[in-house]
Amino acid sequence: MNCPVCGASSRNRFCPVHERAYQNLLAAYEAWHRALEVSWRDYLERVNANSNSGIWVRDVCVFLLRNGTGDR
Amino acid sequence: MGFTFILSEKREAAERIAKALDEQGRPKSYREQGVIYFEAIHRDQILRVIPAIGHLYTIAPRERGYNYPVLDVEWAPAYRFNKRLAHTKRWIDAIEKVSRGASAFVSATDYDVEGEVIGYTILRFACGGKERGAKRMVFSALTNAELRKAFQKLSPTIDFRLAEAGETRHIVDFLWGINISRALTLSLRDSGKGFTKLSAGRVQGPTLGFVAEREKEINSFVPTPYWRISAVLDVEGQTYKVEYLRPRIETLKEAEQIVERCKSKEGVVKGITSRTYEEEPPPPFNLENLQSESYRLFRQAPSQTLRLAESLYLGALISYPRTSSEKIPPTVNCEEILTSLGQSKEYQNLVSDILRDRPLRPRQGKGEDPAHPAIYPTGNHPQSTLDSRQTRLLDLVVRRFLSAFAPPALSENVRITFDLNGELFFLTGRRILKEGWLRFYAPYARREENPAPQLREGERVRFREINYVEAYTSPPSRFNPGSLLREMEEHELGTKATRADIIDTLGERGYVSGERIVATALGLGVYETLNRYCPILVSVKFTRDLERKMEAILKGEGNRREIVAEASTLLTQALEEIKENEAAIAESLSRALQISNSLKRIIGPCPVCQKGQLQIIRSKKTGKRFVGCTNYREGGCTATFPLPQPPYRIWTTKRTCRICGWPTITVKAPNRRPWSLCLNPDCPKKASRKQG
Repeated sequence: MNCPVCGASSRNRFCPVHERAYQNLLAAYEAWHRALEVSWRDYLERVNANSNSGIWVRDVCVFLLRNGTGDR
Repeated sequence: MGFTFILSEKREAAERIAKALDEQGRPKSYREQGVIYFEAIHRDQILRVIPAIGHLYTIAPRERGYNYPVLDVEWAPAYRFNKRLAHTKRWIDAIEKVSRGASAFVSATDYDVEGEVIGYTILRFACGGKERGAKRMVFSALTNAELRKAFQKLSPTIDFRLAEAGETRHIVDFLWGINISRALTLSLRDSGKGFTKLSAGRVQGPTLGFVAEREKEINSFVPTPYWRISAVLDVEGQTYKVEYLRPRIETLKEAEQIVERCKSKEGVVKGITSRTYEEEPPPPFNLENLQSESYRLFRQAPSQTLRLAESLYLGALISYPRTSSEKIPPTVNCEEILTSLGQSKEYQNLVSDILRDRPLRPRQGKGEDPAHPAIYPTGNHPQSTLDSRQTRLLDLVVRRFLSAFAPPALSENVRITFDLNGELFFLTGRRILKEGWLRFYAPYARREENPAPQLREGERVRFREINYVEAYTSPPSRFNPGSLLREMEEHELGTKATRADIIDTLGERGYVSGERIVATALGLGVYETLNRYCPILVSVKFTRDLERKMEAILKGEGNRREIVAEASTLLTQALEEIKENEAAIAESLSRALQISNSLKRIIGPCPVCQKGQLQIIRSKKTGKRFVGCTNYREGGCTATFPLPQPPYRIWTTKRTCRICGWPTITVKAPNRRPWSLCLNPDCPKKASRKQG
């Protein structure tokens, strides 16, 4: 299986680096939702636009938003 | 009559030794094979002082051929294995010739592991097995007094423990470096992925690991929002920034509620606490502290600081810089040094203040070094003009030395708490009551002062503004050369002499880049591959344990043979692991190389479609290179730009044109200086140039 973000071979949905970024995204959503009551899609857009976000996190955000899997 | 042969490490040191020991202070100089050496007369004795030029001998494999494992090694002249060291053959020949007929041999190389190995190998191989009978001149500064004292009190032998520790380090590092580098390179070649030389080393691996792990943390960081309550207090026309008791508010709703509750902006002083505290002066520098401080103040890379410090040492202006000690022992004549420094206008007042209070007791730090004291100025005045970087580094060492004799600084910290409708705010102020050492270490000391307003408990105050500010958590900061050096030191990786070079080497190999150190795609790829298939190569624990064992040789615990045997066993296991996973390793490294090479071709964002990246492409039809957009296939961006063809050399810079903001590249024609070329064909700069 190949990572849909970067094309590297992977056992999970994403390659190890993007999987780690995806897991971090999942983990941080609760804090964002509590803080701002944002939807998953809005959350991805905000994280993608944030300059503190890691480059792999932004890769995953772009992929999820583009591929219609922006909804959890 | 025979003569005494003295071997020093560098030309300047040889000259200083000869001058200090010559009765007239004017030794004669001669040349052999173009290598300068000095002849001095000392108490009717002839002394021949000749410099080496770093390591003249290196560890090398006994058998030739690019394969592994290589476990059988020997000392051999460095020029045979490194073209860049071809000139060292003249040094070996000169030393062989100049030492012939000597009745006594003295090693006067720098007194540390590397210096001892240099002396040991030269005496053993170039002087025909004279390492056993040779004596040792031990000194920490190249001043006349110290050199004469060292010559009077020669150690009866060279320091064999130091030499053995150094030899062990050379062998172990060589075995790991050559075998792992070859194993990685050959795994790529044998799997049909081409021949690209990759390298890895015993200390490099874990050091790269620090940077790579940090990079991974930064790249997969998800910021979370929080709110700060920002308040400004007005007292008699002066404004003060005030903080809310809780530094972070986790929800917008709560932040809004807090600000709502404080809308009257009327508060009362709930409490005032003040505390005075003494701050001791910092101890004199050891190398690590000097490198860190030099980076903090001057943004000077640790390797550069070391080079500058060595030049000051060779000029007899400071003591030996490769030291871990933060102590000035009683054997250092501080009074003489201070008196000499006091002759200079800029230190005159400071020195007279120090000399007024007796006895002279410098602050001692914790760092220890059995061979050398902390770095101190010798008090000598420069005999030739120093450049600006040398001047400021010398000034830094002098002021740090002076401040070690100064009294503590006394400061007062005040904390005022305010109550605003049940919400608590506070402000802190700091006032320096007695400057103490801060005056001696100026302008390098951090002296942050922010006096608090004069208020009384129960007094009513009015806030000018109270708002909430949205903020986000930040990823951990990247290493810089100074902080990476500290990280290596904390984990006991490498030695004080090698750490800075290891950081530079990682950069030269393309594994890391930039001053805020970033792990490149290649660096991350190599680290991930090693960590997955052969974790011992990036293991901090393994490297630290080996360092400790090599250090133990200095105390007479353990020996070279045991440590090399143990390291070789572990190495063999690591090589077997690499061999077993050769195909997977090659695949992983090849992918990292591909990414790295494609990133090297990227010039910058495409100014035409604003979506893709401009990259250097080679035309399959004509073989010529040009610039195209990565968004050509997906978005149909047809932006292309011509590039100068060979013999012009080009490379990407990631910089933009100052006039039009388009990406630029650097171009170099044969025998000409490189210049920056803007890719915009309509750049106003080009138009103005055409118009003359």
